[in-house]
Amino acid sequence: MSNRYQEPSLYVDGQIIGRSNVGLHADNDNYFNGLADRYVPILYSPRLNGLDGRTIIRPFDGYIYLRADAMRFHWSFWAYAGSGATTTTIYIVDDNSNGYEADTLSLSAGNSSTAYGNVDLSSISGYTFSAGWHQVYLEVVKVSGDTGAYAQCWPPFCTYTSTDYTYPVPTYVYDGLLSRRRDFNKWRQADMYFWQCKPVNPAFLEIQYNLTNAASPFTIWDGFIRHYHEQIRYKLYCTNKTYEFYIIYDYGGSNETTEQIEFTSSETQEGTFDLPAGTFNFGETYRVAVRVVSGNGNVYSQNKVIYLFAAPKSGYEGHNPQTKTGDAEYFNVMADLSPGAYVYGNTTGYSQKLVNLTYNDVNLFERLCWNATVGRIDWAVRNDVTTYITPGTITLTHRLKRIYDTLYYRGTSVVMRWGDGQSKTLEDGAGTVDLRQVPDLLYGQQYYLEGSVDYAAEI
Amino acid sequence: MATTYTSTLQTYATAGTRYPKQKVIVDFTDLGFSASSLWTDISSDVISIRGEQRALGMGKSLAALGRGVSSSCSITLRNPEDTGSYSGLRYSPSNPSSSLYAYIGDGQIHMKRARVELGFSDSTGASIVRVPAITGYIVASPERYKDRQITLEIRDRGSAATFVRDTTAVYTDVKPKTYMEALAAYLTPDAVATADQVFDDGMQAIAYAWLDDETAWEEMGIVAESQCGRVWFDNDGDLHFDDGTHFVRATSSTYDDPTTSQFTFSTDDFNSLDPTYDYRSIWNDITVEYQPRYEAESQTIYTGTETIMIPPAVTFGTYRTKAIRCDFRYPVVGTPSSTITATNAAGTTVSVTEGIAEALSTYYATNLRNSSNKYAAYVVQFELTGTPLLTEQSNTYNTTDATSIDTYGRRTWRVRNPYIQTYRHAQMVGDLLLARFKDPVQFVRLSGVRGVPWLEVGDRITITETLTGIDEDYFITELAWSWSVTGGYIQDITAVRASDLFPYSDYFVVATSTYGNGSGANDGRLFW
Repeated sequence: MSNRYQEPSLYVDGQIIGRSNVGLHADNDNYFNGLADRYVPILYSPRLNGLDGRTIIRPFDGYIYLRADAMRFHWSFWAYAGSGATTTTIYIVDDNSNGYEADTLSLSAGNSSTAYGNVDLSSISGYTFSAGWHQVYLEVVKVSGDTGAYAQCWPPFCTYTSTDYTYPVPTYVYDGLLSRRRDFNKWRQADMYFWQCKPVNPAFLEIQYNLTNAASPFTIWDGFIRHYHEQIRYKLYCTNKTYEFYIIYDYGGSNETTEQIEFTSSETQEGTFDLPAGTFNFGETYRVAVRVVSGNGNVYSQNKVIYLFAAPKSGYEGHNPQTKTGDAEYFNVMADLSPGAYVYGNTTGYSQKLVNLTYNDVNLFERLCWNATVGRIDWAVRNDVTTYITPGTITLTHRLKRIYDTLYYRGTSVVMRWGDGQSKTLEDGAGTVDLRQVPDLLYGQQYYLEGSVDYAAEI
Repeated sequence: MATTYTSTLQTYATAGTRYPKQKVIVDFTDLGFSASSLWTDISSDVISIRGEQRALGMGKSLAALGRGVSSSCSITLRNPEDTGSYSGLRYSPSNPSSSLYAYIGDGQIHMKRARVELGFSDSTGASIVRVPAITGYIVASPERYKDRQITLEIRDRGSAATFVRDTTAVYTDVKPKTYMEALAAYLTPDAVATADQVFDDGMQAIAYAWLDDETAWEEMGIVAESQCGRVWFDNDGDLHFDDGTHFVRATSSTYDDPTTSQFTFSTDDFNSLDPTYDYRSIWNDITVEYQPRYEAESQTIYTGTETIMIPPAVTFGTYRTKAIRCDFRYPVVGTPSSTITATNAAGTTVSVTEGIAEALSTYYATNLRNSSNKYAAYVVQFELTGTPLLTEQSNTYNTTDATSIDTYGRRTWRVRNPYIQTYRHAQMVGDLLLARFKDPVQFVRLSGVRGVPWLEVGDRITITETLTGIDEDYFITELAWSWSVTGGYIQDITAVRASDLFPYSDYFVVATSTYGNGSGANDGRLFW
């Protein structure tokens, strides 16, 4: 358990309530509120062409951390066969290294299609999926012909399906109401449910894309986000002072929103922009692309997308991303209570009202649990392999913004870097890093992994 | 809390003329606490009894009313010459001709179970009502040969519990009551029956708790203190864990209700009343350390460094075993998994299995088994994988009272308790202690009290005396009593003013209090 969350004890009739009890729920809610407002990395998953001269490509190749309480595997991908015929299949590899074919698209020349679905991995005959990391990949295989095939994979994920912990509807306590143990136990149960709903914190795939003679505009970064916050925070780098970057939200969709970033020197640009309010739907997946635009002919530059995060708009911290009114809209930061005060709140300060625990649970249920429809999402994390055909050279780096205490990774020659030139060499293979033991790496601070990395995520 | 008593006893105890009675029984034949009705009655040899019960650490403990209760008494007995086929002094452990020699000889009297009961009878002596005054063990038996007397020193059941050391698994997010129940199982030689365990839930769950070759009794004291409470054996021999809310929480049993006064003392009931204020026990700058712990990722927690040889089984179908014990550097949560690689002398891999393993917080003990009846097995690899429990940087919660510091000077107390592991817990303890100790509290000592046998330390009593202006409730912190044939039954009682410990009496009780801001009759206040 984390020292930032503490499991409350079961309440019983006759128990005396202290500040330590109420304060514990307030502390837990504050912790979950922070998690709900976390910066959400936009996940890299480019639309790949490149069957030219090849028989197989993998537009997505990564790993997913399976947990016993979240074994429902979701996928979604799109493929276009080009002038040849292709089969496009998404696989997840079981304990015995057998790839389970979750879905396949067989396309003849000139056709495109989308496949999506989900399956309970715990009940697939002939396959065993235990808790832990499992490879997941989308593979395009040439059947005939050899040009113009494309495919793109929405990052796969698993969702929380356990019934061990469920969200209770908390009690709206009011002046004069006789207390019941269930009132307090519902606040307890909500805390315990939210604790189970802590999402995986996947790495952002930072890209360095060195282009020479690429057609302008050129997409250097391509991925997806399950819509959440309404602000995008970016950090970009370009060596050419006459170029522009476009960050396009809902790229290719009906509500394309473009932020234009101009480079006036070889420089790093760091900033934010807000998405139009109410335009995008909470929980829906949108494609996000970063395109580089040359001011003069083809593109010749070294380009970096260092990070892209979705974050709460300024002044909207603790707000429900949906247009909501009432209890679900705001998170009410509770003031600390005083021993001797009436439990319900004997001051004029609304922030000390006990019913805030209920308001906040309602709010958190919407924000932390994806509009109260999905308890938790465990995302797959892509590897940093870039062997596909491009007009330039690509380097991918796993970058994380710390919100938890344990980093899971797998790779070789991995060096973790953070802060002011601080670094730590990690052991080859699969491992974990206790981030509490990493000096000066504070919550919210960014760090990245150099080397060959198969996956990196905080859990 | 107060020993269960009847209205008859109450009537006899408050009568103008009283007829005190005692009963002393000893478990010479080791029948156990549950068979006390069969113990040997030695009341007829009793000359006098003096007893004492006191709260421990009233001046400086994390508990509102002491971290525990110590009870003891001395029984002075006639030591008559045995008769019939026996001879010599009956209670002398050195006398091989005594009728009791088989039970008390050669020091066997030490730790014999014993109980003292006190009460009254009616004027005829036909109706006698008593309640236990102490249940425990005989810890010493000095003799006075010249006077033909022997004294039995009795301590409460905690005196045996102090010697028992053991190790447990790591308990996570455990309710103090649950951990106390687990610890109670380690109290030997006399396990405390479940029915004799009277435990509060505790105020704060404990993230991680474990016993590491420590005494269970001491551990229970540490746990109790972390809950601002106490652990103690009452006069009946029942084991109690009272958390910090205990003394303001009503219970359905009148005798056990700390919010109900168990006796009202007025001037007719005592010889002397001496109020005092405890200026020594003032603490107005309190720092509480708390040490968060966390479970590290699963990792190798033990690697055997020596090849372990297990001889072949003597006969086919059996196996030979070798016991090993692996000590951990850090406590381990849960059960580790083992990896065993073994070969025979020819270098061929062979199977070595484990017998019943004992996985505890700080070590793993198992039996490695070789089922071959031809070859010895050489275990070349023995590894354990598990989840170590690590400690984060300790933090502190500090709380002060400026008025008290101005008045009495700064008096600093740094509190350390391994089971205070979170900020909220440290805050609860620190602020409760500050409220409890920032000002001198009032004690009252009542001397020459007409004995009230059902009272125990921690009981709420009412004292009324007009000249000192005292007319309110107190909690008993110390109780001394004596009984003798000639002197009757009297007590000296020391008690602390209830309002000095708990400023309110309307704390919020789940399922009893209403939510409200004080305008409702049952609106409740926050405890610490």
